[in-house]
Amino acid sequence: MTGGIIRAISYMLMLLGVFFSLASAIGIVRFPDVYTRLHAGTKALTGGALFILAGAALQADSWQSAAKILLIAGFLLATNPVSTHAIARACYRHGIRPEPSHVDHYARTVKKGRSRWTLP
Amino acid sequence: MIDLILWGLLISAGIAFWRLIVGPSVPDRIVAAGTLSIILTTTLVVLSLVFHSDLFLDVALAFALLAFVDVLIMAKYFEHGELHR
Repeated sequence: MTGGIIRAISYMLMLLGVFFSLASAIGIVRFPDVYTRLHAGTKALTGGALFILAGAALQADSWQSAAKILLIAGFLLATNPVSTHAIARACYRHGIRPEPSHVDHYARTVKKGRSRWTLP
Repeated sequence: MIDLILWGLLISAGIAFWRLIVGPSVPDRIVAAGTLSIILTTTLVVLSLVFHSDLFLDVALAFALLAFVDVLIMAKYFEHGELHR
């Protein structure tokens, strides 16, 4: 009885995660700009992957496997925003600008040539 | 049920792979590569459920690490044009 309920919850979580990852892939194809594609490919995909990994951890064979799956989930949660930040920073410093931009505070920081570790 | 999840992951990986092939500029391809790496990591975890094997989890952990370093190095190389700065 309890096993059936846990299995149903796990499948619902995994289906939700698959929906988020499909939406993220469609957004990557349909969005017009690099920055909007980054937005689609990071937030929705991190959420979808976390849902799928939570469902898999509920359904794992032993607690060691569940702990390993949760370790992978924490690793994804920590590293995916870092890599996305690196890509966005590289695009901006390479010269690609977001097209309808009205306020751009980062341009002053880049132009002044401050150290890359200080906040503006 | 788990076949449906695997098919959904495969379809989303195919769509992201289309962006990787077609993508008009270099950072589009980098974004698509990062997306593909995360989708493949989750696919490996689901495959460990299918085959009841812990080996896939180790492979998924190493693959996630390698993909993170990979995307960082690609972004840095795209920014500077060289690696040693």
